[in-house]
Amino acid sequence: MSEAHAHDHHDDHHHGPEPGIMRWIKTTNHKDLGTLYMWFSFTMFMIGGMMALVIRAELFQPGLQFVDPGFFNSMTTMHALVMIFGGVMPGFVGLANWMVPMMIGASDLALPRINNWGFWILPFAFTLLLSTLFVDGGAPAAGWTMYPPLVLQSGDSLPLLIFAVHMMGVSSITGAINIVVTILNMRAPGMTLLKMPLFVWTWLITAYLLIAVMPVLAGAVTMLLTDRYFGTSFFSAAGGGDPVMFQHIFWFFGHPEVYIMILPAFGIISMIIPVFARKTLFGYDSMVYATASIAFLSFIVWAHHMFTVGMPVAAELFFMFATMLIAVPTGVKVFNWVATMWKGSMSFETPMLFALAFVFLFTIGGFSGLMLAIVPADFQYHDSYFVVAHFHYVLVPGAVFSIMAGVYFWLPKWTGHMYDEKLGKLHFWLSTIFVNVTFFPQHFSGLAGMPRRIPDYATQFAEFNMISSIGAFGFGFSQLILLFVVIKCIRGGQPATGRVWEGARGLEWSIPSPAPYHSFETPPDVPDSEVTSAQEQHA
Amino acid sequence: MVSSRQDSPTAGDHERCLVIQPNASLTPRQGRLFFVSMCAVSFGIAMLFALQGFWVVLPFAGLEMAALGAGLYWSMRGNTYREVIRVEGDRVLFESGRAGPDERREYQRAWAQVVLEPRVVRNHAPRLLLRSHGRDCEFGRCLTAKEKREVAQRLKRWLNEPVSRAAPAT
Repeated sequence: MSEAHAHDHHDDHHHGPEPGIMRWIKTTNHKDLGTLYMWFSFTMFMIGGMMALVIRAELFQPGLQFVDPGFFNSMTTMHALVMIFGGVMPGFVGLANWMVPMMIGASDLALPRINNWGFWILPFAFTLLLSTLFVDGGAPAAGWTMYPPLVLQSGDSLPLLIFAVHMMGVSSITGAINIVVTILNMRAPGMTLLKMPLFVWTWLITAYLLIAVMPVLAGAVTMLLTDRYFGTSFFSAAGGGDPVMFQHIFWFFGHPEVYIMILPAFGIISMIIPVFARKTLFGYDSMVYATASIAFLSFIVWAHHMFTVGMPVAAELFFMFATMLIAVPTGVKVFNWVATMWKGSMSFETPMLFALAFVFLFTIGGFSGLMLAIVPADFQYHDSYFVVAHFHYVLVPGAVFSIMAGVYFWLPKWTGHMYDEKLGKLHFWLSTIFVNVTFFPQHFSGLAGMPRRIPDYATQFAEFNMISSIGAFGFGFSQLILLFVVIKCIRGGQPATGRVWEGARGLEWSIPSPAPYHSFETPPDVPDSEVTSAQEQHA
Repeated sequence: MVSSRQDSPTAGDHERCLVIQPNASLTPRQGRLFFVSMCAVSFGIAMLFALQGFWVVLPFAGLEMAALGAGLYWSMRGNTYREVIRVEGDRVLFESGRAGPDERREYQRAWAQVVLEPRVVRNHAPRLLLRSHGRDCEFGRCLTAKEKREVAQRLKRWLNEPVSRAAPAT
């Protein structure tokens, strides 16, 4: 409540951002923090990408060319950690920061100061992680999965790695708690659960997964620390412990983590396709239930990552069938996206192109996942380049393409300008071509027997590796176009309307572009016309 | 969200009372249910590992559930905010607060005005003001634009009723 003299109270609550650098350090505004997350994610994407290029340069031809095997192993480990925890996850958190409050008609996230803290932990966590490149013994080199006993043989990098993972975990948890509480408690009047846009739904379920599994990761890495420095034997067979249990614990976290990196992507794609097909999303309810089913199944399939480690046949059968079951809800999603496009008035702007590439290429990654779920086949494929091809198809044209699609889709709403469509399309085509040039040949080298995580290989794999390396450099340099497009769009361009896209519906499109610094200070009415594809059946 | 005691069968003819509260998409019961279900999942997983000897997961689960509980409590605390406006006889009473009235104002009914002031800032809902003797008191910030219009109309109607009708029976 406020009191003021009459006629002297205009805009008393309309304050903009603080000027200068302090705006970004002290900000609690969800849009500012979303922007910070997105830039952080892009920076990490570039750093992780450079590590990938070191790997691909070394693998360009057989023999050791540029780096020693120890450093090569560090690069594979650090590339994964940086891309997963620094690139993909902050990318999705950034999109959630920007869009979730606007989509549900909330003024901000529920815990804005925690949001600030959650972001600012990340630069310190990754500085710590990257600083391991300069410590005795080099950066962690035992793989991002940190399996003991190998990881316990790391040099001085181990405690730094573990502390960095803890910090990343704290950041993820604060983000997840913030998003869950916001979605559950701060929806505008009339925005019932089954009227929420699918991006909000998928993030709600993702945040639930994060909250459920993060303590498992924290516990696992802490036990590594105590095994190394405090004389415990959780994972040391010599002391009565069990190193295989680490794999079980890690993958109990790790498999839901895989879905943490893909469920928000499903949400983004489900937002984009209806807009550019000019139709409502086919099967909204089934999309929500499919997402929830995938999340549930993610808890009971972890051992498919470790079939070869040895387990009873009954367990192998259970994990094989449970893994295959995931294809059902995922198939429902792919079917619904295709059905949404069926007989739609489609147009092919950059976000739609990325969304289409996602549907097509992610499905390839899904199919190779099904192959890997078959126990006897997995015994052949395990630790081969086929696995590398599989998860890169899921994560690059899957998760990363969806983030790019989301950036192009919402960039006009963020900046108030339309991006350069020609450059956007150029970025799309180069990315799509090179991502396939990079990863498709890896299926063949893997099936032919090339193991993963090696700096040298038999000459029979030379051609496939050369093609893969050319693709990787092409893909890496293509991303500079994205940087250019974004900067150009921030600096100017054709003014964007509030609605931006012809078929766009939802509360986020009902406000002007660029979105005001404070949107929905008072709760909006949720007219049926703004209920996204949603859910008209529920409106 | 607005509720009124005007239509209550127990309210006297003289009593005009509006209660304004923020929209809460999570009721306290739903909040408790969600928290308990999260605790069950998180501690269930942690207990499974603890029973295998890997008890270190347990304290992290506890810390995280404490953080979730604190976050939920903090966010839902805002749901208990209330603004109560009473039109009684020749007085208009305004009270606001969480557990009880933290702030209380009294206006002479004859001088009190309800003003719905449009905002200069694009896309912002109008401000709802109680105005008297050149001073404004903003209320109903948690209402949608439509609810603000309804509240303004209703309060104007109450203020314009003859005082004798609204006077308490003696």
